[in-house]
Amino acid sequence: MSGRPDAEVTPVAGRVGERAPLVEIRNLAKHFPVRSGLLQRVSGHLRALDGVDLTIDDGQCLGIVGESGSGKSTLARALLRVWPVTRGSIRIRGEDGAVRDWAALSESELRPLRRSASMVFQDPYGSLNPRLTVGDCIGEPLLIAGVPRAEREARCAELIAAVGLMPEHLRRHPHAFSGGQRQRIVIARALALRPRLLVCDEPVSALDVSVQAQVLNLLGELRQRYRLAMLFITHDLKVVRHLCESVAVMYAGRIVEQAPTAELFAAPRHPYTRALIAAAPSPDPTVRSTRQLLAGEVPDPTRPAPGCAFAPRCPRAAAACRAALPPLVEADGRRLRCLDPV
Amino acid sequence: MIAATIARRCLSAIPTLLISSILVFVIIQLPPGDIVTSRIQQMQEAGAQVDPQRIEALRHQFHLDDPLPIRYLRWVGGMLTGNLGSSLQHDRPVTAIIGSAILPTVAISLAAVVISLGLAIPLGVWAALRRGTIVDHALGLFAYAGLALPSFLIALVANYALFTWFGMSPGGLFSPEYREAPWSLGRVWDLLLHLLVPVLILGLAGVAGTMRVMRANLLDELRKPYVTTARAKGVHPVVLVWRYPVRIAITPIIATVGWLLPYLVSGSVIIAVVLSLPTVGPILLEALRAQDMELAGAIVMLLSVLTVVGSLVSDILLILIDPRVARGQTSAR
Amino acid sequence: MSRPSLTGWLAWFGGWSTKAAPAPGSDQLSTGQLAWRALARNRVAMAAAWVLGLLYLVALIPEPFATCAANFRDSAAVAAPPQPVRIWDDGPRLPFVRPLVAVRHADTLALVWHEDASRRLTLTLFPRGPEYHLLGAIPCQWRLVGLEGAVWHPLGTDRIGQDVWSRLVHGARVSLTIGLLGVTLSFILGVLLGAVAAWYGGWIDGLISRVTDVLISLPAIPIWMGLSAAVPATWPPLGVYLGITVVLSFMGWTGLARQLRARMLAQKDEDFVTAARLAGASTSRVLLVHLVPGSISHLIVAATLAVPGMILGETALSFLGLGIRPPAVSWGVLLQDAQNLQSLAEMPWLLTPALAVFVVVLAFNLFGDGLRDALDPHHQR
Repeated sequence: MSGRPDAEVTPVAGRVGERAPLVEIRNLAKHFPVRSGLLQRVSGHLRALDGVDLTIDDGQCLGIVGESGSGKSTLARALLRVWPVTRGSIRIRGEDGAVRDWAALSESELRPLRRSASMVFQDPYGSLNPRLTVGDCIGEPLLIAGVPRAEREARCAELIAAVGLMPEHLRRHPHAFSGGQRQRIVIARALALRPRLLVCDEPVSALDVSVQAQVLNLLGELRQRYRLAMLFITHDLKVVRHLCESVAVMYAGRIVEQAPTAELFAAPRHPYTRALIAAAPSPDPTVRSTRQLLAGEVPDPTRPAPGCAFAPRCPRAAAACRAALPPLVEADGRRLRCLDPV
Repeated sequence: MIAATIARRCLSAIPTLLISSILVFVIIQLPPGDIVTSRIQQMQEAGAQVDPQRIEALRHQFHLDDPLPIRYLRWVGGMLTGNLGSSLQHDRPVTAIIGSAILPTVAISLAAVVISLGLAIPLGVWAALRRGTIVDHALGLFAYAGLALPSFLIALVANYALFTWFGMSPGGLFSPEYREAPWSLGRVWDLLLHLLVPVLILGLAGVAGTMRVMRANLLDELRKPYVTTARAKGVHPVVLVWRYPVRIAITPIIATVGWLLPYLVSGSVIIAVVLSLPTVGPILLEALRAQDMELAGAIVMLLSVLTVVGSLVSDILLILIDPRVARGQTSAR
Repeated sequence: MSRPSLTGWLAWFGGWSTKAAPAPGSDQLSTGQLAWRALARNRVAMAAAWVLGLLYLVALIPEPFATCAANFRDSAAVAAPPQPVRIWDDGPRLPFVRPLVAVRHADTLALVWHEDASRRLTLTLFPRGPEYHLLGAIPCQWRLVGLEGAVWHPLGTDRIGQDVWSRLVHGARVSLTIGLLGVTLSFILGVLLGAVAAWYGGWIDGLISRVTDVLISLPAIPIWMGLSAAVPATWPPLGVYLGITVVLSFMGWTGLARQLRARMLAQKDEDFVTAARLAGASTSRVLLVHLVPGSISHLIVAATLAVPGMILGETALSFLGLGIRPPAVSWGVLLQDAQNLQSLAEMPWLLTPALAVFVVVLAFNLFGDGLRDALDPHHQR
């Protein structure tokens, strides 16, 4: 977001130099019931998301990283209220400037508000209805929003050009496109109603490496052009570095560390963040990484232990770490959940 | 773990039996008229005057004035204590009428299962190993026709063919000369010959379906890397196929043996009518024609129980054979 | 029980292939259009479709195809053998048949009919006979092919002189339509219950799924028999027909409900469904635009493959005397005559309805398989 006057980005909140929060997530949790036995009784809960606090400012790109199973994708879907959430609040500033708690709204109350946020999915093959043409897919949000036909067609042509495809592609069906092209179509659909927030759930991890960069560049460009705030979920640290201003690291359904991208990579403080960065392959072959490999598995999310979820795998863990959950402490623009940071 | 899985599987048969008992009770109640109206009809035909009080007394005697749920409970209670009711038509307890027919019914269905698997598995392996050859295609055509032809039509044609070409009547369990004869080797042989035709006909649909599954499973298995490795190491082709791939490909078939039973029991009823076998099939038909619903209902219930218990037994056998099922890694239905 | 996919080995028989390089411009076609193309290229399935089309035309207007009325008794041909079409009699001739003559059997003194090899009766197109009413309303006199002034028995007659071919043709109406009607009923029941189960989940789903499982795991024929015994003997033929249809559908909806439920559950969490919800789509839009069209093709295939089971059910019930009752004719009613081994040995042509049943069932299976292959190319091995 550098180089642009902030006032342009935040027309509602007044003061220059301060970005207004677009999304404020507080203590968000999503537990899935685990059924077992003959009668399919609920025998426990899978705590996919267990108390997450996050703020996304207007135009900000926030990255979420973590291993698979850490609750990243659940966070994306819970934020957009794909399902009801277990507890917590999701306060999102709408088109009209009013802030509403999406967690407390019903499905029908949400429906008119949904246009202010949209999503790009991981699997480009599952996220387009194979029975509709590309034009119908991109135009669906417009159709639902009641945009008249002529205007819809003009918008679709504009959108398909914006993602680097041809207007004649609108008449084709998704099966005629490659994964990268499909992801472009999905992005065009996501931008159809000019949302403020775009949630990207691993948008490039299903794509060929050669195509990944193109799609990432496209996302970066579009973000600038449409002044989008983004929640960017990935397990690929390179991607985060390239695109995001701030990064939050998730582990077992909680945020363990969040800091501006450069600071986080320069000086990771949580042992888990450190291990994650160390485990990533270095682009410089001459640098022999002092790899600090993680031993063990992610803890079973159906049987949470007291204490820090990372303690069983942490080389620095002490008795206090296992006794109680360390709080998420904010200092110097960094948030950290660790009793004994590096 | 295994015991718990078996216990759970046994418990899950209870709602099945409950729902089928309700269904059978409805079947019994559906036809207009009941035992009292037919008694009254008999009496009137005999010239007797039947006054309303007598009718009321009769209805009370047969508990027909009770509400339906009570009658259902009484009926189920009777079933559980071995009292299957009494036949209107024969004026005898149902157990006495169908008692001798149960053994042949079970024997023919079981033999058909054995024949289905015994033929289908080798044929499926053969087709898979000769994939794309005339053998494979001929077996494929046979399987297709076998699934399209209902067993009673095959039974009709077989009946005709055996009669005109071999002068043999496949009906019944014995040839006339052995019908009343004491047990001897010849009589056993005669019985086996007479059982062979219905069992083969009954098993045909099962053979056709199972063979295709076996072929497909084995083809999937043969594509796996360990087979290629073994082949590269020079393991003898016959040993190679039978030692692991066939054994793995059979498991899902064993797991679904229970699914064959509804078809086989269903088919056996009508085949028994065509080939006049002494199973419950002809008794059921006769009872239904005479609207003897107590008897018919008892037979339908018996056949349902047979099917449910059959699939239960096959599932339990599977749990014992393949412990992964108990651990829930492979679903046993 | 898995159904064999045809493509593989039938392709081998005639060098037929259902797979071909996609035609240019195929990426502009919808999946429906692609499926239609694939089906049109599948010659086995198309042949089956034509056979079915012809059979249903016969079922709709059987009279012109028959040579006489279904219940017409020809006293001049009792238990007579078929009169095949011949074209050779000391040289090529126009298609003709041999007339039937009765001879008294030396031992039994019964009259036995056989073909008179010395005479010829030339077949004519559109011969006129007794008046009948086409579709029950239009008075009409002609038959498609037959003899002028006599009745041709292409498949012989039964013990009371009724023409087997004409009865077969008239019986097609009941036998073929009961399958369609029964599947339609099952379809409505299955879609309703399957969709309700998948959409509401919870105990409703539990109950419906449980009942479905139970009905699938029970032997169908004994239960059909028991239920059809409840159709009162006093009902008119149409009532019996509808009653039997309801009985058949009672067991038939389960497979369809199960399939729809499974398909809907699988698709409910697909990303494109989530995307539509996130775009603000209403429940009815999600269902009608995104969920049902994805399941409907599978349901059509399942319904097609369920028709033969219904036809066989009717045949079996009528064969046992529990379904359609004479004087109404259906293929099962006709097969009742074949139950007696003695008369079957004398008149093997009484088995021809079995052949008709086989052809219809095979045609439905072949067409259904072709439809499935066309709609779901990934299903093939």
